Amino acid sequence: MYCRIFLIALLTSVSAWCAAPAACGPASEIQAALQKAAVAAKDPADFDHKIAPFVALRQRYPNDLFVHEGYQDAVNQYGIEGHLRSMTDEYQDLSLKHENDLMYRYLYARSLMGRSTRAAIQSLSEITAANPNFAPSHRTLAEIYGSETFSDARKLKVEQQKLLALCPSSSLLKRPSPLPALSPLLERAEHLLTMNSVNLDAVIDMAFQGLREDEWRLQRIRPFDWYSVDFKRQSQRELQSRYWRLWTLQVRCYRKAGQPQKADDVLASMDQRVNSFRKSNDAFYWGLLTTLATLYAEGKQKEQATQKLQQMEQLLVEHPDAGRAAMLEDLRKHVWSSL
Amino acid sequence: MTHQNVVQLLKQARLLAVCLCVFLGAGILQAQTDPGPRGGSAGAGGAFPTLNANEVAFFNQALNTFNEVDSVTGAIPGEDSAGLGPTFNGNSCAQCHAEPAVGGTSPGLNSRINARPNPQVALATLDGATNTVPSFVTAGGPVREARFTSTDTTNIYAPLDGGVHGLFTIKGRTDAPGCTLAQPDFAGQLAAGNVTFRIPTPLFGLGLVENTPDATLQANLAANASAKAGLGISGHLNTSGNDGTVTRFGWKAQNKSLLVFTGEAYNVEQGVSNELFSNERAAVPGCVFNATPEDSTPVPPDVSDTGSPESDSTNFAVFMRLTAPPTPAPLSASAVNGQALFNSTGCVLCHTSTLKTAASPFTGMSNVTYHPFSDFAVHHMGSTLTDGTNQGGAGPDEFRTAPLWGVGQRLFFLHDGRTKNLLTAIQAHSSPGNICVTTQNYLEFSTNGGASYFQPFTNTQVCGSEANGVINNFNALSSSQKQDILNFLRSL
Repeated sequence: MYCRIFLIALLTSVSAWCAAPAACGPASEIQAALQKAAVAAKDPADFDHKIAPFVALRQRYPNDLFVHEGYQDAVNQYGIEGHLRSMTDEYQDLSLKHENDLMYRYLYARSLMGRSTRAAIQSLSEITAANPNFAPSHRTLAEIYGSETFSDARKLKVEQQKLLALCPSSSLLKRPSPLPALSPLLERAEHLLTMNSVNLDAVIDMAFQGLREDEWRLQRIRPFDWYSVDFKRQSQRELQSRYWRLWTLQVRCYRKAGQPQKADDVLASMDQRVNSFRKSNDAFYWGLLTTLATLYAEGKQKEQATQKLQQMEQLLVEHPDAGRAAMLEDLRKHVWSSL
Repeated sequence: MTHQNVVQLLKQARLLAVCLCVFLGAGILQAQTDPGPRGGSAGAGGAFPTLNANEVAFFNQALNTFNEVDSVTGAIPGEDSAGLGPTFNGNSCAQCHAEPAVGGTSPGLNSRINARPNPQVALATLDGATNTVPSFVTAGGPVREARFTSTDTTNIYAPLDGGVHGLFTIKGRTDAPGCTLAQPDFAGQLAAGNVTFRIPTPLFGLGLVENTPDATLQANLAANASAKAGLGISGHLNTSGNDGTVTRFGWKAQNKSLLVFTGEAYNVEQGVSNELFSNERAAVPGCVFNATPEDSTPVPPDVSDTGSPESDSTNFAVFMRLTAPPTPAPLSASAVNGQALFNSTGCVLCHTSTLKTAASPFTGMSNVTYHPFSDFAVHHMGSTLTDGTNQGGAGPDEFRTAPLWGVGQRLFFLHDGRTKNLLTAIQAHSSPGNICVTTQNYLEFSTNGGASYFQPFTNTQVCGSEANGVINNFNALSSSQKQDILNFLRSL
């Protein structure tokens, strides 16, 4: 008796999967709700408020795959390492709680995309092998294979064909989503500094906010394996040079505001920070010394300016470079004319 | 009153004043005073003198890592190491272990070598951070960490806390966008009497301590039993709950090895998760910016950062393991006398002057006789010093005998840095015998389906300090003899 019930249940379940729609896209009601949530997420500054509309949707439609996908994408778009990790942990828990539920297995695999993408590919491939009619896995795999880092034209074509066979009007998202631009606030602050009658504290605050936004942008890069290690390093170096501009702006603001002691404190801190690049011979270190020599000259601090020029000369002795020698000569003239 | 009387009165007053001055002056001349931290060159900070060239190179590389500064993501120039926070007390090992040289203890304005304000004050708002400097952290005071005694001061049955609560959070820093983690309510906790402090311990010569056999420490503790018993000194070695061996680092000798010591400090003080303490503390998702552990041995080896293929934690341990012990100053005649008095009063019974290491893989570090002036045991110090915190086998009023090597150049004394005066620190070793410290251990019970609650399991009560007898001896000395002891200590 029990065997028969179990068999019927099993057959029902299998036939349900076979007969189930291929999960090609969200229902129109869900689609509209997701679009509304995406718009609502753009305004608030903090993560919790940005993500709140998606959390609410998930509570309202706990079994809707596309609502979960929307939530995952929002976390990926706005979250930092801690949020991303929490999301993966959460979907792992859900997949364990719903052991035989394909949707949760898929969602856990998808939560790895962009962070442990090779693991995501493996899990999604296993899912597609066992469930060839489950369109979301084909779609996600195709999106991964279409990305620059995990590019595989042959596999992309295969997955795309399978997806289109199941869901003829499907479209793919580009992974990863485009990076936000660097914050314009630092440049704006630098521009404001050149003007008269400006609130210098506000200028400094603006520059700091700009750096916060740039750090947030870096968070869109660092945790993700969509980007190469070299690109991550380059992005970090780019940010480092913007910090240098922030401190330069601070020194000039304080001087303009008649607060030379504060300017000197920042300069002393910059000088100390240069030490960590001392062993370096790259353009960045050279640029830092140039900036310091210039700032000291602007402050009529002859001794310190000369010391920086001497450090640059020493660097040239150790690493001769005709281009840099010419730059140093120009700088020397500029510095001496300022003093 | 006639003019003559007034003049007479003034003459008498003047005479009285002169007499008073002579009397007080004699008193001042006779009263002992702490000569203060020794100036001159820092008698510490270098590599152990017998190391070979490769080992010295290893030490120097480790020193570089010890000096590195952490930020949240490592993107800030000059703060290139990643992992700071979410909570922290410092952003570099060398920031707090600074006096008289890198590897020492808290810097301070009273240094005669390198006078500096407490760096924690500036750290509070570094890089845009929005922390308030707690009242117990001041420019002229020591670097401090804070521990809470109880988890809930309103409930006497609440479990003990004892853990470190980071002074600062990364909230507001440019490299922590979105983090909103607030600082603990230190003012409230202080008002409730729930906060105790610790200052950094100096790290010089710790390779010798690490390599001292348990048997040596046990034999040393057992030595001079009758003299110790006569003065009320007992003490015991703190031990590891897992392997039973002697633990010896930290204010309560709670840490087993330099590697464990460093891993714990890296996590607790700077908030950097590492391969020994691999999880973030205060891991609020919106304040976690790095994958964990933030410091680990790079695979494959990566030398682009510090030039070292080892993790930061390993480098820190190497630095401590290979540092030379502090070099004492030549003893003056007074200090020679002070050394004899240090022994005869009984100070030396705990502040053991000489120990010996075992065989070591490092050149010249085998079977070294060294002078830490500590038995590395923990002793009951009574109500004056108790901090209400249990660590391993060390109870609320038990502290490791503070090693006195290098004390001549130390700026702050006792576990919480409460004094800059060596004499005050000596006197604080004594506690009234009629005030007792109760150590209460708890056993947790839980009922079926009911809430968990805690039930007292054992009570032990200790009155006064094990050092009371020795301090009585010290107080019985003449002022000049006390001065000799102070001079001896400031020569170490």
